[in-house]
Amino acid sequence: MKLWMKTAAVCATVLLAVVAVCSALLLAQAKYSLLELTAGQVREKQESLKTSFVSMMNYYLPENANEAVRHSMAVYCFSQFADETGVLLRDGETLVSQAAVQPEVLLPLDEQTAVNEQREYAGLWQGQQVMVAGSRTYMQSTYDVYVVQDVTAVYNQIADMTRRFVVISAAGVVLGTLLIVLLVRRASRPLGRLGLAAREITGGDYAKRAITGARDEVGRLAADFNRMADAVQAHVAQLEETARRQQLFIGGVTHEYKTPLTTLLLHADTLLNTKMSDEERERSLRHIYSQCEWLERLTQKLLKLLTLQEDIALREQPVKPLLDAVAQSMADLLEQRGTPLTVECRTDTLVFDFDLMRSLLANLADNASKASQPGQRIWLSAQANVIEVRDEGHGIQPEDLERVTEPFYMADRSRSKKHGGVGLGLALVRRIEEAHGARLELVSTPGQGTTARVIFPR
Amino acid sequence: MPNRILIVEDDKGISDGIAVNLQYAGYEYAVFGDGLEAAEYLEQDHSFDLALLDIMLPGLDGFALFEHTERYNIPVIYITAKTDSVSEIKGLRGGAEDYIVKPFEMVTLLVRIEKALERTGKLNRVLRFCDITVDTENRTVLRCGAEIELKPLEFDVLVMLVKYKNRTMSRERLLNEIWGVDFFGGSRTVDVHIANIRRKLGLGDEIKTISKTGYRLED
Repeated sequence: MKLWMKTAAVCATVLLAVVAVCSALLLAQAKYSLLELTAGQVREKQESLKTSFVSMMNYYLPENANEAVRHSMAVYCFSQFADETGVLLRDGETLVSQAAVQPEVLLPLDEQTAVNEQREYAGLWQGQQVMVAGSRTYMQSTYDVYVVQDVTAVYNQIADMTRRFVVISAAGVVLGTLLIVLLVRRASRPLGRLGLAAREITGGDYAKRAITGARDEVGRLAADFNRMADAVQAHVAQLEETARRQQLFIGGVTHEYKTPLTTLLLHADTLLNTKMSDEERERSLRHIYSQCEWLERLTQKLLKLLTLQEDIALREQPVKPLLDAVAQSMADLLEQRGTPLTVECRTDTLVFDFDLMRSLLANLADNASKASQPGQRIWLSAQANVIEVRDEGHGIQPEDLERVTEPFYMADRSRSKKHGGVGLGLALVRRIEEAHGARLELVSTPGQGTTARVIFPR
Repeated sequence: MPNRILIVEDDKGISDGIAVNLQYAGYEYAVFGDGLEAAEYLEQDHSFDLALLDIMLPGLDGFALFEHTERYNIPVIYITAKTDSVSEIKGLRGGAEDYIVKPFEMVTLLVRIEKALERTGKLNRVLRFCDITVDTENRTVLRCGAEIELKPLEFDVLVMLVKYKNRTMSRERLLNEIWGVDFFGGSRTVDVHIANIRRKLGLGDEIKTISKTGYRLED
C-alpha cells in the first residue's frame, strides 16, 4: 500500500469518526432541547390551564351550589380556557376531553399526589407520541387537570433532522476524504519524483537531479538528495578518471615490457634451438642479461610509483640539508657526465618528506643533466616556497611539455634509453609533488634550457 | 643467390636476435637502428627482397620509411609493440605485406618472411646445403649433380630442414607443416621419414637428433 493511500485512509477514518461523534452529540443535544422545550410548553400550558380553571371556579362557583351546578360550572369554566388538548376529570370521571388519549391511564393521579403538584409523562399511546402533564386540585371534589399534547410531529422533526444530519455528514466525509486524498497525493508527489530521480541515477544517469520544489521537508530532502547525487557523481567521475589513468598506465607498462620481452624471447629461443658459435652464444646471453637488468630497473621504478602514497612523513624542516643531500648523492654521476651542480639556498624551512623530496629533486637533477652537454652547469636553488632545478641544456619542445609527466613518455626515445631512462622519472616526480600538495612548473625554451620549479603551498 | 633482407630496428637486442636467426636461415641482411640512416642507405643500395621495419624509430618512423621502400618495390613487414594500433597498421597494409606484434617467436617471423617472399615472387626457389641442391619449384633433389629420388613427403621434410637449417624442428612442427593439423598418425611417422632422408642423402651426421624435441640440420 502506498504511503499516500495509508495517510489518506487514516485521515478519512479520523474524519469519519469525528463527524459521527459530533453529529451524534449535536443530534442528542438538539433532541433533548426540542423535547425539553415541548415539555416546558406542555407544563406551562397545563399550569396556566389549571390556574385559570381554578380561579374561575373560585370566582363564579357559589358556596352552596349543588352537584349539577358544580358539574356544569366546572365544564363551563374548563371549556373557557381549554383547547383540544385539555382533559378534566372530576372525582375520577372524565368531564371534558377532546383527546383520543386517556391521560388518567398514562398518568394516574391518586391520594398521595399533593395538591397542585404537577406530574408529567411522555411516551407512546396507540402509535402516537404524547406528552402528558397533569395536577390534582380540591374544590369540594377532586379535579384532575390534564394537558395531552401529541408530539409525534416533534419526533418526526427529530427523525427528519437526523436524516438530514446523516446525509450532510456523509457528504462532508466524502468531500473531506476526496480533499484529503488530493492534498496527500499532492504532498507525496515530490517523493514520487524523488524516487524516479533515484531510479534514474541507479540506472547510471549520474547527472540526473530531483526537482527541489517547495521549501518544506520534502524539498529539503530533495535538496539533500541532490547534494548526495552531486557527491556520488563526483566520486564516480573521480573513480572513472582513476580507472582511465590506471588503464593508460597499465597500457604503458605492457608496452614498455614488450620490447625487453621480445629480446629475451628471441635470444632464449635462438640459444635453445640454434647451433651457435661460442661468440654468438655469449652475445645472446649478454643481451638477455642486459634486458633482465632493464626489466628489474623498470619494476623498481614502477613499485616506487605504485607504493608511494603509503609512507609519507611530512614535517617542517630546514631546506639546506635536503639540497646538500641531493648534491652529494648526485655528485659522482654528474661529475662523470661533466655537468656540475651548483646549490643555492635562500630558504630556511619548508614542509616536506625528506626522502621523497630528495628522490624528486634527484630525478629533476638527473633529467637536467641528461639534457645538458658536458661542461654545462646545473643549478639547484631554493627561494621562498620554491625549489628549482635549472639547466642550460637542449630544452623541451612545446608539444612535448604537456606530456612529459605522463608515465613512460619519452620525448626522444632513443636518446632517453641511451641514458638508461625508463620514462617514469617525471611521473614519479609528479606523484611525489601531489603527495606534498605542491605544484610542478616546467618552463622550457628549446635550445636554451629548462627550469623545473616545485612550488610548495604557503 | 640468397634473399637479402633490410632490418630497421632501434633495439639492439631485437635486431641482433633477428640477424643471427636470418643468418642461420641462409638470408643476407643489413641492420639499421635509425630510420633516417636506413633511408639514406637505400638511396645507394636498394637491392633488398624484403624490409623488416620497426614502427617507433628514431630519425624516421616505420610508416615514413615505408615510402622509401615502396619507391624501390621492397615489400615490408612491420614489427611493432603497439598492439593498439594494429588496425592502423592493417589500414596501411595496402602497401605493407604483413605485420608482427612484439613479443613474437622467431619461427613465426621466419615463416612470415618466407610467405611474404613467396607472395612477391622473390623467394629463392633453389635451396643449397653442402653438395645438395633442392629445387622447390620442380621438386627435385640433386646431390653432386646426380638426382636422388625422394617420396613427396620426404621431399617436404627435407625442404623444411634445409630452409630452417641450424634450427631445431620439433616433430610437432613438422607434422603440422607437412602432414597438416588433421593428421592423426603418431610422431613415429616423422622418425621414419627422417631415417629415409638420412639414408638416401647420406646425411646421417648432419641431421642431428635433438632429444625429446626433434631434428636439426647442421652444417
